Amino acid sequence: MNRTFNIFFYLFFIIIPVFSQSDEIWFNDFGGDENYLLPQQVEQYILKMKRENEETIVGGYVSSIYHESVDSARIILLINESYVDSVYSNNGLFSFSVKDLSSRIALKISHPDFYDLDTAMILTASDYNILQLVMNPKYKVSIRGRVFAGNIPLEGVSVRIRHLENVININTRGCYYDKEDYWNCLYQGMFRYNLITVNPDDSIYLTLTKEGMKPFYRGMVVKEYTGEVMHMKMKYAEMLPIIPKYNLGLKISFPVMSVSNDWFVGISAYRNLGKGFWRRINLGVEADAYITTITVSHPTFINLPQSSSDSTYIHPFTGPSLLLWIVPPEKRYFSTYTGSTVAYNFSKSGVIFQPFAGTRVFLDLNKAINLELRYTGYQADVIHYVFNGYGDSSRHKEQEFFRKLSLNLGIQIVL
Amino acid sequence: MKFLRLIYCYLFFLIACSEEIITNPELLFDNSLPLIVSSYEYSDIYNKTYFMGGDTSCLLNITDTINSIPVLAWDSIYLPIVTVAIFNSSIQVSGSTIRNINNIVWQWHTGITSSTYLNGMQYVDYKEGKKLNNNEIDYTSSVDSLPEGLYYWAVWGWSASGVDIIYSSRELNFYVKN
Repeated sequence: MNRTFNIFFYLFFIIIPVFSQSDEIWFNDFGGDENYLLPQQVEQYILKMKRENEETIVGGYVSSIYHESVDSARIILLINESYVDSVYSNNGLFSFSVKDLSSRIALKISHPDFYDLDTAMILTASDYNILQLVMNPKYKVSIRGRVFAGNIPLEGVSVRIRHLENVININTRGCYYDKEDYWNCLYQGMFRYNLITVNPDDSIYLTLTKEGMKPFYRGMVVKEYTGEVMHMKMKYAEMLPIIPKYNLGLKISFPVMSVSNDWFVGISAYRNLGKGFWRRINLGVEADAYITTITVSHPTFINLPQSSSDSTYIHPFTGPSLLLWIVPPEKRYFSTYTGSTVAYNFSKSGVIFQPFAGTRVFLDLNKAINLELRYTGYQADVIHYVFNGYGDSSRHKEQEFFRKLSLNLGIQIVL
Repeated sequence: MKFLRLIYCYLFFLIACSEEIITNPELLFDNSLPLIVSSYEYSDIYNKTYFMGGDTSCLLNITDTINSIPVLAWDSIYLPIVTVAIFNSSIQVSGSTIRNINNIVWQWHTGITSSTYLNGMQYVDYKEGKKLNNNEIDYTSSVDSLPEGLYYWAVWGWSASGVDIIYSSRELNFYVKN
């Protein structure tokens, strides 16, 4: 694809007697648009300068084909092929004082985004002349991308762009407050870099890095880039960047996941003991409860089948817990653990052991789901009935032993 | 103000969720649902017809006069466990149970025979029931016809759980004239 941009530099040579004048005053006096000045507006300025200056000046206005001033252009004045003066124009305007009208005057204009412009002319004693020059531009590509982890934009990702001998390091953006003081996450996870190149066949290499993520690499040729925002998905690293110190969990089990058709709900809080071997040990507390439905049967009148009655009981437990990581906790996938809770049985005022074993898979850097198998053996009272043919049945409690084995599905937040 | 609003919401929630307590003091068991006994007629082997007013007679304080082997009937409720009993004195109930079981002269329940369903009513013949010995139903011997006198009867039933009585009738009466 031919990406030749035609940038026109409109160079207005003004030969007028002036005393002194600066570009800023020129703009301020004129009060025009800062991005682009129309030729008529420049001419009005010239006439104003003509009244105020006695010396001859060479001045100009550099703009692009897009009718924008070319910022930071360096303009060098040569007279008879000798360097005389140079200026940096921050708004496209420049001016030089010239005394010898019969000399051969040359101007060199350079800007990193554009090809250099050389022009030469012989000045005459006319009031002013206007010249138009057409130049070939360089390629300018705005490389834009957005980095994701799954569907979540990732901010603070280090983006390293290598082009020829140049290496540019930038970061993806985070959320910010805009001018209206609104929380703005529109560009979260995005990066942008304006690449200037002469050769469209140049290669560029992007390297994305972030703690806890696998490095991401992409290479392309400049002319292959379509200009769209590149969506780049980084994958989580196999290991967590740090060992989670605190671990808060919520667990639940449904009747289909339990041997005795129970509901189970539990919360837990653990603290990791440290580094080295100690990182494999967590100490914490657990509180959980089984919601269980118990059916009891009793005879009624003769010749009638036994009646059965369902009652729902909540059997809560709480106590300290010890957790041992069989697979280290810094592993992102399937870090497996076992342990036991020394639980107080509120239903029968006793202490029991709740052995458990489970495994954990991280969803992102601090949230994980876990699957846990937990056994609880405990005693609790169950209400039984004795049928009364002349009124409501009488009730009495009987102590029974329960064995609960449930597969619990949990979510964890690590800090 | 926010606190008051919170209390209001809490009370509204509490009232909305609170279980309605059934109280029917006119029934034999006041925490049960009403079992209706509509008026009906039956005939004896001599084709003599007897009228039982049911709840209507009870409300009008009328005592129906019938034979010594009556037919008892009530609106069908299709409960799995139902019993009906005839007392020789007024039925005494306290604490959701009948206290004067010794006054029961006849009793029938769904475990003995299945009742007859007809025109939305459930009928039980006197001969299908049993008498009581030492406050226990005597399933071995046949029942004797009722001597002349004033009798009280009621019917009540349980759900399949057999725990609490959920339907009961009023205390009804009749007079047996031989």
